[in-house]
Amino acid sequence: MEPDGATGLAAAQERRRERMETLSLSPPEELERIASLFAGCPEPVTVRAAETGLVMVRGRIAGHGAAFNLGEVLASRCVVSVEGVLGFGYTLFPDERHAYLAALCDALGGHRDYAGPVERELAALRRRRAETVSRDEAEAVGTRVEFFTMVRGDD
Amino acid sequence: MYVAVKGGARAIERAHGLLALKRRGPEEVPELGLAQIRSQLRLAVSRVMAEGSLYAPDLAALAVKQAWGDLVEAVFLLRAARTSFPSFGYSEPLDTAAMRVARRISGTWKDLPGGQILGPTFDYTHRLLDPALAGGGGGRAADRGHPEGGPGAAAGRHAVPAPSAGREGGAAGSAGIRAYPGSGRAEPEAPPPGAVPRAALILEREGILETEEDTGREPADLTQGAPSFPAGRDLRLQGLARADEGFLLSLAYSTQRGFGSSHPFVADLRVGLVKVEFTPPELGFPVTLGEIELTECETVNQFGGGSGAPARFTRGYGLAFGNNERKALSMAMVERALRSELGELRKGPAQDEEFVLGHCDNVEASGFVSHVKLPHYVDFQAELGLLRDIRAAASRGGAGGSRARGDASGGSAPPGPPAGGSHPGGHSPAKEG
Repeated sequence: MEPDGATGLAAAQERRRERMETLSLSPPEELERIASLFAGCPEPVTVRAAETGLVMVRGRIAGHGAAFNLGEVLASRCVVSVEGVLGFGYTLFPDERHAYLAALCDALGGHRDYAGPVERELAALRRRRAETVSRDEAEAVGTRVEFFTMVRGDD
Repeated sequence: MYVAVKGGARAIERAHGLLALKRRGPEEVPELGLAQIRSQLRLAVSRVMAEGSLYAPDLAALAVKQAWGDLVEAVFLLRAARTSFPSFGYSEPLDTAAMRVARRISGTWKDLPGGQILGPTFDYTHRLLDPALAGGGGGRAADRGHPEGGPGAAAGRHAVPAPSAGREGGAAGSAGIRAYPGSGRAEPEAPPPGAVPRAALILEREGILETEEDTGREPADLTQGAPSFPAGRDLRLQGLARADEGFLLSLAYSTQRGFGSSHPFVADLRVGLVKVEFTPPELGFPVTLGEIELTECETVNQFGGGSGAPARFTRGYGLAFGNNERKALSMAMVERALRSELGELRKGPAQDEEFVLGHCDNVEASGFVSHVKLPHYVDFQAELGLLRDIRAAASRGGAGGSRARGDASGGSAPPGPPAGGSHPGGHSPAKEG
């Protein structure tokens, strides 16, 4: 835990959220590669075996009003521990390996000995995603349209 | 009364074997892969996920393949698959304003914050069959959105300069809405646009559109029990989100033709990726599971208000899994038509929520309609017996056939055996009258 109380806790939680998001949004092959970099680390213990289940996705009425249930997604989850440091994997789709790898990388990222190198790997993944995002956006923006209304000749 | 039949196991097994064979087709034609279905029949996969009420592109692609292209059958397969998974709980409500839009258009404003992005669309195509596509060549250049033609366009693809937005006056600015970053000048390195504000905000801020509050109420869930009527807007939206597209399309059309008109304008129609967040109980804060593709449509419709309240626009809402534009638009129109809370005169079936929600699910509808093709031998024998009795009684009485026909269909007790109880099925409304 962070020494400086509530703000430190909030900052730590935010870092955790970011780490978990990067892990869930990255291709499993990338996590496989990161995990292999830490193959010499203490053996991870599976606390809760990976499993796939349903999450009911909620929308909001008119996009911003009260919640409603839209439909379900398949998600996978897993909890592992590296020397007592727990790591949580929550990923979309029925891919239990992805959930396991995300949990493992989360645990390593929270472990004082490995946090630095894991964070460097995650930063690279974030850059890669930013490239994807801007490429998608450029594709879309290329089809931006300018409509104009015709003025009738007879005024 | 349903009477079981037995036997036929060998024939059924052979029929299923034949189905597998026919589904595969000639061996010299390459077999479809799931990746091909996912990417090249993407709208089919979208439809199956929306109506199957399960966002799982791989499973949906498999369902399309297994169902031999029958999308309603594929929806059924996906619904059945869903039942084999445990439930983790409910997501945080989606933030569709933060959608990474691939397409975003408005029928109400030509200049609006976030701009109009056509994206990959069939709109403005000429609907001419493209022989070039038949040959595996990828189709007409114009239909691929590369007006200059050829794959050379791909080189510049990652740095497509945005056409100048040329926003005169900045109606957006005056409404206090954040302008779309990068809308002024083309900048390939511009940061991602982030949130694209909802177009209806413009009207909402002016106070001439009904507002929608987050009441914080726990929404009803169709998957946890049968719906009760009158349904809330939450339950209606859930039902419509998984409803058959064709049914919704026709109902939406019926409202336009006068059966419950509420003249819609499309304020905002968008397709893109949205993050799904889930709060694991053991963590207590929301984490991102991943991104899903969604289509969202908001309509602005004719007026509500009255009894002291000033007149204002009303709204309809549609949201669907995947790239499902026709569905989301139809959904928004039907959703608006169903809003009995606005006190409108009920003039059409699209305004009857029990009718709409009770018949919009194609798994239920297909199941009940299709069951009549299964063996009903005992039911039918009973009907046959009844008809023979009626005819025999009529000829004994010497009254001629016309009365007997009238009796049989008219509902009054026919001569001979009483009608009540003589139809063993008991599920035919015509016989219960």
